Amino acid sequence: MTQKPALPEDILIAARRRRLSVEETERLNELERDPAEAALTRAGRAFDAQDVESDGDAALALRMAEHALAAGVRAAPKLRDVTARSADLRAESRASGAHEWRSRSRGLLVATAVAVAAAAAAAAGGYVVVTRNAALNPTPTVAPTSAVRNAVGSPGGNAAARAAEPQQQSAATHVPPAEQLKVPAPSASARAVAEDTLSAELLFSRGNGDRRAGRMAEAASHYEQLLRGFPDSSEAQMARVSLGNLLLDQGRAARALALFDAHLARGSGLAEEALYGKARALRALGKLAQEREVWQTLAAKYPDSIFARSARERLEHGR
Amino acid sequence: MVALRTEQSLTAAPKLPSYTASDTELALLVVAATAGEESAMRQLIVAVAPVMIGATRRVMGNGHPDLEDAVQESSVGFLRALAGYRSGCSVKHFASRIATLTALTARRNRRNRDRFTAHDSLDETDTRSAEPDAVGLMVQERQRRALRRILDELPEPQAEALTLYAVLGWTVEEIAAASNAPENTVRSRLRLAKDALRKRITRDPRLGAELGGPT
Repeated sequence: MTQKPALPEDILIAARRRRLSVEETERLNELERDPAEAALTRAGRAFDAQDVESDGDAALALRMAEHALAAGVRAAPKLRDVTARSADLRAESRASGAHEWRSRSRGLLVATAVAVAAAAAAAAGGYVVVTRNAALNPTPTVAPTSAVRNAVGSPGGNAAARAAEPQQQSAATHVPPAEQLKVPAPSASARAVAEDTLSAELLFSRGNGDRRAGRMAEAASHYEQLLRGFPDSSEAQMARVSLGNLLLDQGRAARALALFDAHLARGSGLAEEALYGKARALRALGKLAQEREVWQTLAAKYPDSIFARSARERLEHGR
Repeated sequence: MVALRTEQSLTAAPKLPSYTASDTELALLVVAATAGEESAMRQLIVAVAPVMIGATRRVMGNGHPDLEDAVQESSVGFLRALAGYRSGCSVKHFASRIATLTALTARRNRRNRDRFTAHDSLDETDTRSAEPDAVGLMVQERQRRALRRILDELPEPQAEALTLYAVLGWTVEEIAAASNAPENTVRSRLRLAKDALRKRITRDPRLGAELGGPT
């Protein structure tokens, strides 16, 4: 279909983005008799002509990231830490679709359990309605794109948040019925899943909170509890990397190495972080040949990762 | 971690790698970053940094003394605002708008702090244009400078709309989605801003001359 902007604003922007049709050009010429429209067109093109990258932009981008993180900024926390879910998402995005049904089924079960455990009162009826975008937006104003909905897939614990919060749905927030999942009321086993999930989450969340606050001993303690109590949870899988990094910073490279290896052996998300940690641990232990192999693996398997730069620098320059 | 594709090797050149993260990849990073995952936050900022830096440069001018501070501040603002991100607009538009608002504020703050210095010339010592012709460069520089001055004087909602529209080249639809405002509201703000521009040009022929000329 031919683009045919009808309003002045649309034509002026179209003129900056593509070649206009004869009809549109005539309309633009007509518009440019207005000095304000003419001025905006010219200035707009002047801004477009200005766009060039600077040699310092790469360093500036990294400084931006470091500055924001150093400022102690955290995106506003959701009621449930969805890190586990996002790790699953990343794994899914790379893996074949073969695991999709299993992941969604698992997510559905956990979501059911978490929703009811946290909002039992609200779910007094026989069903709990969980919107599919709950994991991404606890209080969305606009329904997410289908790509994101599909990526997010099954709802996470934010369903509990939604159930517990006052309903504020307007026309803009309304999710079409087709996008809603009617979830049966949970069984006893589902409640057990919820309790386990919440406990693992709680420990992981506390560990993360302590770590960010600089309370490293407490953070390590929470991570260790998590690993002991819920060794097979997805939170534990991520905690191995967090704890590994933490111990590595404390000079406990051997234990850190064991954690990174354990993480990699289980095979899930955060593989780049685990490889990066493993290489650093091997270096700290003086196992330089093995360290080199890990850097090579990291650079080969994840060439676009931000850790690949470290790998290449270490391999090429020994830094 | 979501692996972002780059169009050039990180080690090959000192220039910013041109990330081509898809909207879905960025949305995944947003989910992870919102959950508190630091590596996701870092990757996300690096991925959107080019558009944020670009927007800040356009709004402030390459040579503006507060440029780097504004860019840094916008990265903080971006992470803070992330929980409010709605997928009605792309992550890059979301980030660009935050950078734009931060840059507009930085310009106004500088203007208030230092009304009499050569601020207008400082922020326009910009020779990094794709335009090879020296006269053309000067004309474009003058046009950008004149529009920035007008933006400094407009009420903030109008300044935001006109900046996203004229400086960044967004459509009304994109502006409405990023600022979570109805399209008619955006059109109304643009109309008011253009009215103000028209009056300024009429009142000040020199400004009209600066905004005129071939491009």
